[in-house]
Amino acid sequence: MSAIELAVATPPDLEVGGLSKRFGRVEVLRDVSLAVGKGEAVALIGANGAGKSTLLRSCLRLVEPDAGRVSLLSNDVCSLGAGALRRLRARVGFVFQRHNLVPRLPVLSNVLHGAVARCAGPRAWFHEIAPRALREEAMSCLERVGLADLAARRADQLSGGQSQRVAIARALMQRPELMFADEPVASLDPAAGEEVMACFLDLIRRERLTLVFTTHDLRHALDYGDRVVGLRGGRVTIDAPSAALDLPGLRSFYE
Amino acid sequence: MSDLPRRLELPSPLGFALLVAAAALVITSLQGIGFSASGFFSGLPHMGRMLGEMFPPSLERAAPMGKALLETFQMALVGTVAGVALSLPLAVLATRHLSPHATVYHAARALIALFRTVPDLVWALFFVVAVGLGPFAGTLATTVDIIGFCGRFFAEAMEEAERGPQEALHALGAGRAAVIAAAVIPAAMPSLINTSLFSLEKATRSSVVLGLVGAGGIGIELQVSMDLFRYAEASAIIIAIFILVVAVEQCSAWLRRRLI
Repeated sequence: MSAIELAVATPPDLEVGGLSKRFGRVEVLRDVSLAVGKGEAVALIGANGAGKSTLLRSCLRLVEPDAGRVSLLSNDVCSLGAGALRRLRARVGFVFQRHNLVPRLPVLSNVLHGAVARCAGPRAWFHEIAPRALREEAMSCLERVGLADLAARRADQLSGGQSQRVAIARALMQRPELMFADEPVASLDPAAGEEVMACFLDLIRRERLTLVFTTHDLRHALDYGDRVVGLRGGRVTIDAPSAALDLPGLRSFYE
Repeated sequence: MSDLPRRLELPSPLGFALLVAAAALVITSLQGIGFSASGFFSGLPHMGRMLGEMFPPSLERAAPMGKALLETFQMALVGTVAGVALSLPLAVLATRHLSPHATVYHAARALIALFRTVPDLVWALFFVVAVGLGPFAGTLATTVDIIGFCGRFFAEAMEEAERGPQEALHALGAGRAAVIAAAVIPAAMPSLINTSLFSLEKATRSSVVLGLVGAGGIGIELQVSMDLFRYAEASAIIIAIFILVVAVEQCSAWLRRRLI
């Protein structure tokens, strides 16, 4: 079966239709529609305030959309109850621009948090009380991002690049089926950014994960995205395979 | 030339009237409390005599004093531990973004405000009536006082805890309990430890006076000694209190350095 036939046969991992959201008087998303197929990598680009982060957050209802529908891994996100929503969120990794590790906890506990939703009780809150199997799984996630030797270090004593790798390990600990990343390397210096991005994308490809990431780096968008979606003033204004786009063309999108 | 800041100006008529009113309030208050300079100066020899009789301090009743001092510390310790333990869940309910409902939030805030604004001596009077004379009443009063104190500061610390990690935990499917335990409390921990240790110091100081209303501790010893004009005994008690309070403060400062 060809990739196209496969895409037709399996429902998209993420399907957004007519999504709108306003904060006060500002319309952040206007009638946004988007579909992301299984295994696809989609780069979301757009100026600051174009609605990229809000779009990602709305898909998990970290922000409640005002109108529209979101189908995520064949779940109607907007109609889910609290428990079902938590179980769905657990299947989606989310890497934030600011890493968002718990600063005073050790790295291993932070990674372990990825298992919070599938473990009842406090077992996945702190590595000191976690069962052996979970600790070992967290350790192997750390190994996959190349930081096994920092397991005992406090999260607030890591460099920016290390923090983001730990956040990626935390997302891997979720055993995710889909990954969101909101400007994953925007807070890092260029060298660290390239390194983390390469590590992240390598893991994504190896796991054959579906990926939606926002970025200001147009080269990242073209290199790592199978498709580029451009948002402007809360509307989708570009949606094209990255093979059909080039850097100068994308730059003019910002003007 | 740009504007030079102005020199001292005469107040406006309204400002002047307010100043006069404030001065009048202070003067009538002085009258209200029966302030008398002559009373103060004629009292000085009494004070001198009393101080003279206080020295050397008498250690005649060292054993019961030691026991009362220990009881004072025990009241403070148990009251603080119970108060801190009860404050934590109450503070969660009194933190806007963690509280399950706006009504619960306002109720928790109101309860903490009530515990905080009513002085501990009044709580002690209340508990002496409720559970009888003795250190248990004092410990309950201390507990309530500490809940009022810690509840407020714990809630503030949780309110100020960084939101990013909390959002990250929500995003990976964590429930409220996990977010509070694994993200909010670790972030607020330095503040929680600091406030708890400060409560122990505060509870020690207040346990000293709770004895005056019969709620246990060394306060009653001091009152009896003063009432019977045994100033040498009283001075020994005051010195003992001083040593206890300073010791607790030093221990708490040491713990603070170790833990934070």
